[in-house]
Amino acid sequence: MIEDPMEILLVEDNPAHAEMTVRTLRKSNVSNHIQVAQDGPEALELLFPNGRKGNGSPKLILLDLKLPRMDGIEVLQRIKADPRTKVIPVVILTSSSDEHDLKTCYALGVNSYIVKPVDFQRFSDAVRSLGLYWVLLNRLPN
Amino acid sequence: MGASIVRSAVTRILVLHPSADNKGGRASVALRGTVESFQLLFANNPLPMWVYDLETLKLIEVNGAAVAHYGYSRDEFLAMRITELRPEDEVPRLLANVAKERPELQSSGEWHHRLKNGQVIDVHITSHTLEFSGRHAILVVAQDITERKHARLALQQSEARKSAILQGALDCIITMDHLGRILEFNPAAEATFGYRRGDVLGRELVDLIIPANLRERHRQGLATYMTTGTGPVLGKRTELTALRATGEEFPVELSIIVDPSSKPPVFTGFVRDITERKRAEDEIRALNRELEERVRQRTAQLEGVNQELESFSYSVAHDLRSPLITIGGFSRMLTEDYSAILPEDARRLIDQIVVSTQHMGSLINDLLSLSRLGRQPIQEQSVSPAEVVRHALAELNGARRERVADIRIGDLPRCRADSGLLKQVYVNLLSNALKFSRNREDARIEVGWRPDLSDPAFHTYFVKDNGAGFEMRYADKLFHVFQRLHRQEDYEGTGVGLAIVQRVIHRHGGRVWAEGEVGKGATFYFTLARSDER
Repeated sequence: MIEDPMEILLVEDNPAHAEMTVRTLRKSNVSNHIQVAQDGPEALELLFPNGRKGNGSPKLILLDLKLPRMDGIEVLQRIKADPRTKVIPVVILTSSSDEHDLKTCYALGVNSYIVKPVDFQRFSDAVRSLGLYWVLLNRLPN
Repeated sequence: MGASIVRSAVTRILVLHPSADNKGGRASVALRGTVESFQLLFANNPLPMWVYDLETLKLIEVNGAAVAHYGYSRDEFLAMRITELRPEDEVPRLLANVAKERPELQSSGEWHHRLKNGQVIDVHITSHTLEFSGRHAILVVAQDITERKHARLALQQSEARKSAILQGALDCIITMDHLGRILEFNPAAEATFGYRRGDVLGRELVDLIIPANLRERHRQGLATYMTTGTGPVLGKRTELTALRATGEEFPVELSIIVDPSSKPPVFTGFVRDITERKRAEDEIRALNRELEERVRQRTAQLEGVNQELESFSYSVAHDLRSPLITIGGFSRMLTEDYSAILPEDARRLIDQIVVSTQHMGSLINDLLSLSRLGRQPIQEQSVSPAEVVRHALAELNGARRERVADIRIGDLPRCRADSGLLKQVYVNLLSNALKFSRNREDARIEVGWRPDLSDPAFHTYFVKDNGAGFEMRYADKLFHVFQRLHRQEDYEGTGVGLAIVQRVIHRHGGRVWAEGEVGKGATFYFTLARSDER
């Protein structure tokens, strides 16, 4: 998997949710190149390989907020503060509907904010459409 | 008749008794020796007079005034002894008096005489010894002083009453003349100001009991009254500062009246030391402040606790979602991937799991919005509830396509509310009304109002339906979180909607209640502060 080019970086500490998301993205043919990071530092390591051979910048970062070690807000801040990563679309995919989190993320330049629907149908609809839009439809500067 | 003797006696009385009307010797000299003098001075004298025998005590002569005044005829008089003119208890004193050696003329003091009709009168007696037809006799002049005595007594009583009032009054009573000098200074004034009455009478009041900075005002007030007849403090209660002998200033309540009958005017001031009252007032104010501070602190504590609870319930609700998403998601994934090989019953079981996770999802969502309500600041403004109701209905119609009931919106007066939150109230109440009346062909919902009977500053709004209703004895449970009065199979719901309504209205300072009857419908009332803005 490491050798694959990374199209989507999913930062999610809940393996079940990660599985649901990955499955939906694959099944709807959005992408097969999905890298999962289980917390903030791991995500940053994947984005900023520090001399080691990385596997490229993703087209989309799906970011959970409640993460161990370093929370999603800080990860978002790092991504948007770095010229190498700031153009990468970041979509928050979280179970938090907290207004404060929402405002903070937009202030930091998040591209979308999705509250995970409890209903799986709506959950997979949401993941599918955001994948379709950001990965297949959206164009980024080279 | 021994006119000459009588005459001589009378003239001598006149000479020797200068307090009688005729002024001294000159007049008597002019009358001496005339028959008219007897007529004038004894027989026609306006004062009752008689002569009695000192030995027998029998009356020998009596004048017309006595007959007129006492009611006895002349003959009756002449048959009487002087003792018979007295009330019985005075007879011993009379007899003792008669037996005494006496000067020729004496003022015998005050006695009581009894009239023929039994009435007893007060008299002042002047008597004079004389010879009458050779008998040792006494001439008596009786002056009726009953009325004078009564008047004097009444005056004494009135003075005594006034004095008692002055002595006993709890307030200081100070009387002052037109020059500002103290005329009266009662014991309460002595106690309050620390001066002795004897030391202050006649002294200028202003220098004694008025603080230096108010003295000029006092003098001007007095001067103004003397020229205009009016004064700013007259007949009113005024609060001022006064001065004790010790130099201590203290607050007083003062009222001054002017005696209208005295000229030059006399001012009476009633002064009450209100140091204690002021102190008590200050204390009450301080206590109030302290109480308010404590209430503020408690409120802050409560708000803190509340906030903690809110954020606790928020994070609980929040954290519950995560596993729920997994349960629902994996159930679905199971059906999607394996439905071909799953038996019918297994698919039904999985569906049940999915339905339950969806319901729990709704519960959590409602809980989250309830907890958000507690934390969200309220932006109160003047709103038109009818407009809010229309927005709420639009939202409801957008959310689901249900058979629309006959909904009537009254001419709702404006109120003060957060329009977003009020919309939430109407959305919840209307969706309830729609839900519980959906089984009726003639479903009718009335959105109305009426004046609040218990508080005129509020309006009462209501949403009334003719749906399933509820049992009144459970009315108070309606507003509790997760409390439901209907079975899930009949009417779906989480039991949070009315709790939200209640929380919103309570946060606006209003009240919420419900009335209902099973099978007839329900009415939900809430009150909000009226807004007089247009």
